[in-house]
Amino acid sequence: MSQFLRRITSLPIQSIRSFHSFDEVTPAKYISTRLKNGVGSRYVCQLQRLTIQVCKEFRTSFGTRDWIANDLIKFAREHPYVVVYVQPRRHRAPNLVGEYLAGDRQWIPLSNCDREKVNWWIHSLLTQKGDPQWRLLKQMHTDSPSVQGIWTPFTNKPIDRITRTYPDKDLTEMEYPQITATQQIQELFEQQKLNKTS
Amino acid sequence: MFISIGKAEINISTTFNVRANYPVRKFVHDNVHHDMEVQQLYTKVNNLVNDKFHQRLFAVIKIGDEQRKVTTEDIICKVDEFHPTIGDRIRFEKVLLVGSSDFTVVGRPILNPHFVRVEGIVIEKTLSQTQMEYWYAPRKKKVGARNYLWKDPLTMIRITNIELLGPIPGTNQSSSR
Repeated sequence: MSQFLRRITSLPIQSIRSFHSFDEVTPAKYISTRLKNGVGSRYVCQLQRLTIQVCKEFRTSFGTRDWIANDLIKFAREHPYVVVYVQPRRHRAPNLVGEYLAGDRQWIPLSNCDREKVNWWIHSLLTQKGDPQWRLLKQMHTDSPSVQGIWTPFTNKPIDRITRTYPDKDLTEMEYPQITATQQIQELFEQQKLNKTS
Repeated sequence: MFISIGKAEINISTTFNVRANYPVRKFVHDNVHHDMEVQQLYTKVNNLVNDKFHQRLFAVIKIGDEQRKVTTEDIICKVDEFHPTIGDRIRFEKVLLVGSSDFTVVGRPILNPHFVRVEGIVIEKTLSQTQMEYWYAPRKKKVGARNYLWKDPLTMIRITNIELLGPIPGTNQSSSR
């Protein structure tokens, strides 16, 4: 429902901020992880290095400056496995660069974002695996697709169905074990006859 | 609780309704025969459950509006906003079905949480590719073409373990009832 509403109503700009050209076809992939991450309830954060490029004077990086002043130390304490660099650049737009365990790199422009959106973007980089955007082919991934065996039309059926000659009398009787409608009507007719005679 | 192998027999006895003259069929469980047949099945499945080296289990769980068939060590993707962050362990309370290669236990509608436990861990929260919806109205003024751009939030969840905690509740071997 929420996805449906998101399409109709005006969309949050923060979710489509990074550059994307529709001329190029995005690669299609299946779901995968690095080094079997998450097996046995063991998780390793994939983000290793975070670089915040910020200007001290321009209005475009006001939210980034706010975030650095208020939330940076808290973030660094909560996530000690992430190295955070703050890189001041005079009179240029603020950026966010994340570098990941497998060597991938993500880049997000932060110009004119307020403090909450900057926080949202940093946490989105933190929770990612780091690969560039890709088309979702399947919503699941399994190594063992079937436990009880793949269903065929012959599962839980007698084996000698193939060797029989059709139409087979036994099978038709199995399919219609109860009395048919014509037989019911015949019985009713006989009962009526008996009632009339008696 | 209902087991898929057994076929519960139902005895149909005819009773006459007072208001209507015609006989109304009423479903009555033939308890004696039912118990004789089903208790054997219960003991068979309970022995399989108690065996520690049983086969790989699978389960059907409900996430949001949709039902997923999962086994251990597989990844499922939820295409919606999801509050837990990375590294959070989740226990799925709504388990509709659990089974191995030898038996299947179906809940109606869900299984007892003391009988089965399905757990997962959130490994990734990303965004999907940029999707576009193009809308065009040629004759209306001031409303030409519109592009709607969006990215769906994706959550990858890995199923860590599926466990059977005890015998089937409601049977002789279980403590309840």
